[in-house]
Amino acid sequence: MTGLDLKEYLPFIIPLIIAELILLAVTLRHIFTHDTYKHGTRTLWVIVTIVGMEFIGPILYFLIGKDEA
Amino acid sequence: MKAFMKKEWMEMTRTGRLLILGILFTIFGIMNPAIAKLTPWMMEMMRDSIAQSGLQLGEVTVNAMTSWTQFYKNAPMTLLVIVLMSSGVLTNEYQSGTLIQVVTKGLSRKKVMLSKMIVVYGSWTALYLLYFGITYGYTEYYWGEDKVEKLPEGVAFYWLFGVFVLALLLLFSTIAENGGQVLMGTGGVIAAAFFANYIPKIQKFLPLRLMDGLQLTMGSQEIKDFIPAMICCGVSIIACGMISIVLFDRRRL
Repeated sequence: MTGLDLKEYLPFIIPLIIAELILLAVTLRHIFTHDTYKHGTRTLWVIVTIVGMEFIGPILYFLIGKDEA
Repeated sequence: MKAFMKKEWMEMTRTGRLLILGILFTIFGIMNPAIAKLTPWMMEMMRDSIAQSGLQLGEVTVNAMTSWTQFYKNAPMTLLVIVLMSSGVLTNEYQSGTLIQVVTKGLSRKKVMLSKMIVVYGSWTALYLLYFGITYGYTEYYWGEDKVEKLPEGVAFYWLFGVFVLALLLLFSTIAENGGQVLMGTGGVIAAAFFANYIPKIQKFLPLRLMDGLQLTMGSQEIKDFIPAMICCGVSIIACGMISIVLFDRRRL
């Protein structure tokens, strides 16, 4: 087995992509509908969320960026 | 109390906390079998560099066990995520003063604490089931003919360990001022347990043992090896719960 048979991995890849896109969308929506953050600025959080979109970015935002109000 | 539970539920869904947690646990759940499935391919990729270092790589076999090994490896991650997300379950309310209204309107403090417990334990249970269910589904699909021994027991032990950690979290929530202190307290106890784990005599009583569900599945340990830890864990969960209710009763909101 040398190459990677993509078809075999589709059952993993599709749900993963969907889940990550939802996570990304929810996080971005939250960032854009809130004006104040506990730490950081909007630009910072958008960058962090997109760069770390696998899941690290959104977690970081909800933990330390999100204002409790 | 019903109304308060409803408020808790609304808060979880409306702030998107439930959704975020759900997605995260789904991702974690998919990752386990995915990594297992990718293992032979990664080995293939690294074969040359491994061969250069003088090691000979045999044929790599992947089975249901590989997937479940990943499951136990990533389970602490899921627990960490839920602990981080729940760290403010009470402290945020102290800071914003929202509990004062609830209590002055006549809801007893005991019921407030009980609802918080139900919410925290309930979300852990549901999310853990989701995490387990997804891994189980994929594993059955790919390696279904491969039977794994005593899986539910091992998985349930880990769940109990999660409840224990969350019981600590709730206990610290009743005394701490902010989420950071809650995390420090909970983390401190777990760290202490890890050190205590080096003392062979008490090892088998520590809740940490419940994390070893994999050993059970691999057959290197029996269910009876876990019973002392299970009893200790259960007793501490109940004790933590009772102490939390007492402390919460006296706390200034």
